[in-house]
Order: sequence, then C-alpha cells, then structure tokens
Amino acid sequence: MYFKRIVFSLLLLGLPIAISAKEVPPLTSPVVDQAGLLSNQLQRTLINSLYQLRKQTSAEVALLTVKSLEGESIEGFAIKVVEQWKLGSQKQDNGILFLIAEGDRLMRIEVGQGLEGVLPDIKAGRIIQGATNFFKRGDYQSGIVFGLQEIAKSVGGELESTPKIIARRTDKGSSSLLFFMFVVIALFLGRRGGGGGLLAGVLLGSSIGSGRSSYGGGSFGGGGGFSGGGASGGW
Amino acid sequence: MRILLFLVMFGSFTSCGMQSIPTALNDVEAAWAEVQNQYKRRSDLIPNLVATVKGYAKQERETLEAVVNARAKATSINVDPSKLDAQKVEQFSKAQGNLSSALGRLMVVVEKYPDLKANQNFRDLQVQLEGTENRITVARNRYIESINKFNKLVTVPPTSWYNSVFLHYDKKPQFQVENIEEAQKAPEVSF
Repeated sequence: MYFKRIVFSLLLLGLPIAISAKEVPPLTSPVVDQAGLLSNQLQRTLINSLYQLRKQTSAEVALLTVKSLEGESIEGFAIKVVEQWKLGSQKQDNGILFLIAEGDRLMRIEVGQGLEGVLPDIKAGRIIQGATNFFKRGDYQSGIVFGLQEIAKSVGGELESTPKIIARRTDKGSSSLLFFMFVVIALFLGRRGGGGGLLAGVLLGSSIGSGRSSYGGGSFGGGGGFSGGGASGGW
Repeated sequence: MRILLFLVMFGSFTSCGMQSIPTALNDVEAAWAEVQNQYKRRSDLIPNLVATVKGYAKQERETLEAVVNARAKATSINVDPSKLDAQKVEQFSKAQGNLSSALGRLMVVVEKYPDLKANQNFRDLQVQLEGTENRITVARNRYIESINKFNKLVTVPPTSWYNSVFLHYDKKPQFQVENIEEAQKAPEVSF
C-alpha cells in the first residue's frame, strides 16, 4: 500500500521534468534527421563523408534536423544539444553542429571552442546566408549539403563524394537540378553496377550497396567544449 | 588492510566536502572569468560598430553617444573572480545591462538606414555582436549553474558541516540581471 503511494508520488514528481523543454535526441550517427529532410540515399552519403571528414581533419561535424523547437530559442536548444553530444575531442574542442528546425524556419551553426578561429561567427553567418537561399525555395537537401560542404572547407577538409552544390543567387533552380541529375546518375550506375561501377564509386564512395557497418568511424562525441560561438539565421 | 582503511577514510572525506567545495569554488571563479571575458569581447566590438554607424547616420548623435558612454562605464568595472561579492557583481551587471539597452536602442535606430544595413562591414559586425551576446548568455548561465552548485555544497549537509568547521565560506552572490525589464523592453520606434 505504502509502496504504491510512494511510486505514485515519485511518478508525479517526475512528470513536470518530463514535459518541460524539448528533449535532446541521442547522437546515433553524425546525421540525425528527425525532420526527415534527407533521402535515405543522401543521408547515408553524408554520414559516410562526415566520418571521412573526421579522418581527414579530426573535426567532428554533425547535422541535426528537428521538426520544431517547441518554443525554445534555437541558440538555447543548440547549446543544450552540444552540451549533451560533446562533439569534438576533449583536447581540441573541435566539434561543429549544424542544426535545422524545419517548422520554426530557423537554423544555427554552433562552433566548438577550438574551431572559433577557423570558423568565426562572420564566416558561419555567411554559410547560413548561403544555405538560406536554398531553403527559401524549399530545397532543403541542397541547402544542407551546401552548408556542410562549406563547414568542411573551413575546417580544412573536404566533404567527399557528396553531390556538387553551386550557390548561385541569380540562377534560380539550376543547382537543385544539377543535384537531381547527379543523384539520378549515381543511382542508375549504382544499381546497374551493384556498387562496382567506377563512376558511381568515384561519385558516391562506398555509400551505395554498403551498409552502416562499413563506416568504421567509431562513435562521435569525444568531450569537446562549446561556449556559444557560431551564427543563426532564418529563412 | 591499512591501505583499505585509508581508502575508506579518504572516500568518506571526499563526500564530506574536503574536495568538492574547493573544486566548486574553482569552477565558480573560472565561470566568472568567462563571463567577464565575453563582456569584454562585446565592448571590444563597440568602437568599430559606432564608427561604422557614424558613417551613415551622423544625425543619431544622441544614441551613439549613449552607447559610447555606457561602454566607458561598463569597462571601468571589473570584479576579481576571487573576490566576488554581491554588491560588486550587482554593479557590474547593472553597468553591462545599461550597455545592453543602449546597444538595443542603437540597433533599432539603424533600421531607418537601408544603406547602412546593406553595408557588408555592418552586417559582419551585426553577426559578431549577435554571436557575442549569445556567448554572454551561455557564460552567464554556466556561472549561475556553478554558483548554484557551490551554494548547495556550502549550505546543504553533510558538506555544509565540513564548511562550517574548516572552510567558513559564505554563499556566493547569484547573478542578478537588475534591469532585466528595461533590457528586454523593446525601444519604441518613432518616425
């Protein structure tokens, strides 16, 4: 009897904690696409190339998309995410989070302490502005790839085997078309060659026809520190 | 056997505050240093910002002067992390709060000047200022957390017993944003 009461009151105590504030999703891979903005294909490619990027530069870049911030500010939620995920190594603090809140039409690049030199707020702001041009047209995939590519460049690496995204403000739609063609060609070749097609291999790396097991990247999140650097923007 | 006894004793000491209170104190001092550091970063940006705005909006003399004066006042107050007392912290946060609201007014005035807003230099400064404000928020929240932890250790048993016998630390002042209403109130725009 008493036991039941205790359990019940404990449950009641836990209740307000459970409903307050948006919860941070677990870091299962460098790409956590809760809003479902990416095709499976592209998601796998990005995961693979973000692991590759870490191999190249040791920087950990992760992407998180959410449907809604549930009333929180994007800055507040971003810092909560990185405090939990701890992207980057503890020594170098070299992690970056690219956060997109689809419903709120907001995004943020949160830069780890160790990378504030190579990716200062101004640069992060410009990347956001560039991605905004795609997002305004509803072309999330190109915007995300563009943003991640620019982030990769700024940390001194390259996002391997991702489709080329060219940001051209005047030429509307061409980049998404280019992207679309890329995916179609890669898909076609990938399917025909069963992963053995030379061009597809070059274009998309090992992402086609190989499962998650072959990433060999290990887990992300090594204890990197963040202090609120980066930039936010809306579209 | 002795080693075991020593370990048990050591273990009980660590939970009594011998270790946790000084650790928490160090964290508080580090967190405060970070708060001041980020505020300093903001005041370093201001001369550049004022100069850029002046180039386009000379007639906004009053607003610009208010920012310059508030900055001068804010930079004159520094609080040594090892000597945090409530009054000083309050003075500091008040001065910085005044600077925040002066800056807020400037940013509203700027809306009247499309040429200025289109200026790349100004846009960069704006991004930097936003970034710094965000860093300030983060640093302040971390300071508040660290103070909370320290105050709990000092006031809640069993660690408070150790404190009252050996260390005699007082509670640390929590960060109060004195003029929070004033700082948050959006200045009115009149044309």
